[in-house]
Amino acid sequence: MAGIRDLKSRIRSNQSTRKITRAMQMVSASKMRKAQTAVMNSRTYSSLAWELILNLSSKVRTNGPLMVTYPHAKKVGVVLLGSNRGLVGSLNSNLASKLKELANPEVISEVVIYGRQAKTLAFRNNQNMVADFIKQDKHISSEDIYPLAEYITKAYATGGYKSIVIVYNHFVSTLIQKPTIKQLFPFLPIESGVLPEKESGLDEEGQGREIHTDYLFEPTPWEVLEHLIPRIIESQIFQTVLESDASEHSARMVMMKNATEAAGDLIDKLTLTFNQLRQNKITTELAEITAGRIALE
Amino acid sequence: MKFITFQLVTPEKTVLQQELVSLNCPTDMGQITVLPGHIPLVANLVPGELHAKTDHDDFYLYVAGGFIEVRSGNQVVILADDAQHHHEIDIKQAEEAVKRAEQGLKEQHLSGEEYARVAASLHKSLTRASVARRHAHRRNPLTGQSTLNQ
Repeated sequence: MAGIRDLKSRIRSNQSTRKITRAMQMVSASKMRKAQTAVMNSRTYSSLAWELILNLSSKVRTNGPLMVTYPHAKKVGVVLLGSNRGLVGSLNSNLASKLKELANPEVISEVVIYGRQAKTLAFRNNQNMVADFIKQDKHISSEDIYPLAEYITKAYATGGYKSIVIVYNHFVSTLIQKPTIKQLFPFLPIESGVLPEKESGLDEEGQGREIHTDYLFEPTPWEVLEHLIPRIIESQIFQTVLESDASEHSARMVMMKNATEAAGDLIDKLTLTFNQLRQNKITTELAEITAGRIALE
Repeated sequence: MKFITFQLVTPEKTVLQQELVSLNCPTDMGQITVLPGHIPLVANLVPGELHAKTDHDDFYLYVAGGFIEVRSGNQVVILADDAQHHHEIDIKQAEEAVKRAEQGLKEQHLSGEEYARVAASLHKSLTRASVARRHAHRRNPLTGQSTLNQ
């Protein structure tokens, strides 16, 4: 019977699929563990760093190019952190819907890409891509994101952007990853309007740079802030990269686990049908033999 | 008695979290000491030795640079690029790092940026080794426990 042979090959192909998904599950499980420890360990640092910059921006009045808002700018810069590879379920498409939330008709958004899947995503959504940073598959150290951080900082300092945000998957737990929009620049939500507005013509290399603060800076506010802001931006971007890495591996692990289980279920079902068919065949054959014998007697 | 709520974190971990009576750390402007009631301050840290004093214990640490933020309400946060307790530093390893960096500086074909990076790492390794050597004779400040046992 052809049905039986068909079933047999389907069972076999499912078994090899299960073998592959199980191997992928193991690989992502070990990557996931590493990524999760990394993200957990650096969370304190980055959240304290962010607190520091928020404290400073609410207490320090200055018109340095990174510490002000640009209310007349029309552009929103978006950094899209995606994964390099697929098979991560809805992780990347969740980012796409977040991206659409940002896409207000009046604002022009420009997208900076990090990760191959993010690129495909931006293509598909007809986003205006301005830069594509390549994400390494290996372990990422903070130096690897210097170029990205520098690019963003410079972009904001030109004054062409109303705000710069990062769209990434925030790691909550192995099962939950939350697509998130994090605002990098300006340092406070625009609505609160606490940051001073940029006044044109004031900022001529130190001329007219004023600073009023409750903080004491050593040696001088400028030297500290010039050193501090880029470092903090780096640490924030690095943290989001770690978060999205941990999310990616967790999502893939879960996906592969589901796939392995689904393959197992399918194999069980197919084996059952296979056995039924085989039993049917045997019964029919037996019946035929008995019928033949009876006919002969 | 007033205390400082102190936290020293690096991108890898929280190195120290203690209530302190005083904190001495290396900044751009030289060593500074923070006591309870300090006004809000932000400063750059340079590679050097950090001395944290609780009411019964002393911590000597190596920091590789970063920032110190003194917040109102006796809160002090240090965001360090790297930090180690003096007893955690492997002196041999630290001295090897010094040698490696010195070797690196001797190589002729370094570009300006690379040279600066190697020079900075030499400075850091030298500081790290000297912090470890200076406090090699001390026992580990196992917070509270060691003092309780004696």
